[in-house]
Amino acid sequence: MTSKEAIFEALKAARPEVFEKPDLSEVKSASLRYEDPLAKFCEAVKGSGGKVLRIEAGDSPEEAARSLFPEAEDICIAKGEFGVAENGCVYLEEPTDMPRVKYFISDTLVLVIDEESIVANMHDAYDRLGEEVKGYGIFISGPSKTADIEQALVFGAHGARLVGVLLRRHIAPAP
Amino acid sequence: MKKIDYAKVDWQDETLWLVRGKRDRLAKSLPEWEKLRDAASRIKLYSTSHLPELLDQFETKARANGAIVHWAKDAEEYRRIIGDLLQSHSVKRFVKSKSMLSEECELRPYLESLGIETIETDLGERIIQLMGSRPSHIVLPAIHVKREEVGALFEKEMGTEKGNCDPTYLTHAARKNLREYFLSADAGMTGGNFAVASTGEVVVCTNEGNADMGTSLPPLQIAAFGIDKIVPDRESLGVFTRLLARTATGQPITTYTTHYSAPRPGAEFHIVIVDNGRSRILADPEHRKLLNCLRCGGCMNTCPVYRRLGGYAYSYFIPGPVGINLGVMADPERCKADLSACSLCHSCSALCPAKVDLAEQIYRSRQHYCSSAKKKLLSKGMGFVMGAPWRLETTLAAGPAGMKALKALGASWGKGRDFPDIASQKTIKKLRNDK
Amino acid sequence: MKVAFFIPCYVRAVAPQVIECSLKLLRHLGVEPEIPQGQTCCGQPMGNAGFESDTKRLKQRFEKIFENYDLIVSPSSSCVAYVREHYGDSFKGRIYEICEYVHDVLRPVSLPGSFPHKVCIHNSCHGVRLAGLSSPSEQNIPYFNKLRDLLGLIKDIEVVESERPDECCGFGGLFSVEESELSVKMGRDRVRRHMATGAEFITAADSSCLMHQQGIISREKLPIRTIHIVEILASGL
Repeated sequence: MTSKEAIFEALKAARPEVFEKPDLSEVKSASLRYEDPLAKFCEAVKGSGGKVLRIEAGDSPEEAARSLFPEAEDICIAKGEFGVAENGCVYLEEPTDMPRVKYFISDTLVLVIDEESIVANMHDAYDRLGEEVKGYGIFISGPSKTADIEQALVFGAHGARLVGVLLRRHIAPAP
Repeated sequence: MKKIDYAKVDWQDETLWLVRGKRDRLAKSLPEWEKLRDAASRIKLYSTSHLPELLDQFETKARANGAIVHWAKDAEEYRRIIGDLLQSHSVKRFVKSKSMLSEECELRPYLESLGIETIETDLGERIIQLMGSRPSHIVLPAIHVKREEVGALFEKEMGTEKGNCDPTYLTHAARKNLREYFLSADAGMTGGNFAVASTGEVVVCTNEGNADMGTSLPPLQIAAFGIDKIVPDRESLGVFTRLLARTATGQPITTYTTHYSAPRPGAEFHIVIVDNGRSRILADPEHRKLLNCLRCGGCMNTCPVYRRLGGYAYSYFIPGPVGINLGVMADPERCKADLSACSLCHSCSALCPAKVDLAEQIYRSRQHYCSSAKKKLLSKGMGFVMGAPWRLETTLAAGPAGMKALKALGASWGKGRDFPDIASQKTIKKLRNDK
Repeated sequence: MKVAFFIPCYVRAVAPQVIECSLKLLRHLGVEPEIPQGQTCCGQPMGNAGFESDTKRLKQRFEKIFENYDLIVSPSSSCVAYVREHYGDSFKGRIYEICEYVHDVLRPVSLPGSFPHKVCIHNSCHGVRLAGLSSPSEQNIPYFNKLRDLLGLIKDIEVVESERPDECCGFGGLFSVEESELSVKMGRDRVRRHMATGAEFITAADSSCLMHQQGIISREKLPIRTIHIVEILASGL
């Protein structure tokens, strides 16, 4: 018998009371949404220790990143898929133009998202992602942090010490 | 009887209460909070009662994603699978992030016995590793350690400035020190906060980014988790990622919530799914809901006993309310003494994000295991007196003589507290007849 | 309707004034309870300590004593919660903690008397989290506190709650003896938080928590006293 079979046999022998899968539509629809998700997102990014800057569609992310962190030496700029208002997360997938480790090993990480991409909460985030598998995906909210020494909050535990989010304004359709 | 460390008790209690306070503020800022807890509990009950099909679905998906899936019945098999993997890949240096499963299965000593340098990369875990100690809390492993102790430790281990115990300075010293290990590691490992059946992905939640560093460089990645970590789909995952960090540390979400499904380009991704007693918990109707546990540590932060005793007062490697219950399930003879470390205040049950009936389970376990002979004597004595009204009447009527016997039996009451006076029973008789 | 009054064993032993005040209060509100003979204990201390199996006969007698009553009222949220949880279903809707009964069922709009003192409510664990006397601090539900509502009926009283308003005082039945050092530490912390409000009295719906805290107050000669809530509610009767 393989170990998997042995485990499954034990699980079947356990005969737990069977519970149905709950319908999550109620908790999802009851969940807090924001009149101004963009403002909530900005507040949440700041709350997580990050910075936010709104830029125009045609602005250079490099220049914007530099203006956010003029002192930074090692800036990684990455394109995010969308933001989450309730917690200031930016969702990213496997980068195509650099190794994944750049998200973490860079001293400063600047994430670029379209400002209309912001969803209210993690329910909406996962609804947007669906069940499709992309190999890798990560939500990042602010800089790496720890409070492992006496609960004192310190930024830059292992990952990026500084994190900024550039919110790219959407291009108005031509009249 | 559990001992209090008076040098640390108030500091530790206040520090942990602060974490609970942060959690309260976030919980109270979401009007849907109680609905979320209810949903989390129901998803977990569904998941743990459908484990074979969800685990099967997870494995099929994970394989299709390119991961290699292993199954471990117990701690020994878990250690062997990981040890064999590391040896077959000629791993000399191994970085791991915090995993309670690895503590449960005592992975590190085993790997070290194989000559594999195994580095804990979570700051708290690293402090604990360097101290040669064990975590005293599952989310805040070094919560009992004072900054001065960390300063002295890092001075010895990393050559930091003598006497400098500033947390920022020390954290950045550890960052620099551990980065060497990340850059030279041959393999990296994480636990798993959630395993999503519908996608075959393992979800890891951290604040420091150590799990992400450790899995982004080496050619071999391992993720290991218990069968109770399975959730059906991403829709369900939304409920848990909203609850976990809010309860654990009072943050709206951890800094990094990473979803691993496929191997990194050029790397291998191995997943180890572990039972190690979980199917036995599932088979016990009185304790089944323990499998709902998210390992958030919320029950520790709210427990008035844990906050004052600290994690080392408990026999099992997981302390606090959930640890008492898990310990009694894993090794009752060794852990039954911990059943006394609970005043049955039910704060843990009222707070648990997945509604584990923690206090109720402690009550039930006490019916099977007795933590002390003295308590048994007291309880039997009380049962005898209460067994017949005349015995109670006689005892109470005995007045000072009865009080003397009571004081002898419950002598420890008198240390630090005065005994109450036993009331004259004439009043009671009068009240009863005075209609 | 036949109403029975259940006297918890330790109330009888150490706090008979609670019985007297409870009866005064109920009679004032038009309820004449009977005190059935032969009562001893609901079995909670033994059950919580792990010896529920020793309480079978106790429970049988308890059930027999109270079987012919429509309603049972008792001045202990802990005992009431225990009976609800560990006795047959017939008790679930039939047994009330006295504050709960007065607040939810009798609903007085005023009570005679004045209590010109600052009083801090000790929200006892089982009162809060099992009997539902107030909103647990752990949960995100609208604030309520039945004890505060009732105390509000008394003139000249100032009612406060402490920081950590429903943290355990460390009594916990035989916990107080088995883990006495911890129990005393928890009790001292709790009493100090009550004192920090500037209150003259600590009040609660459970004599057990009060007995434990009073033991510490007496030993350390602290400038605060404990008083069961029914003693305040019946102070003008």
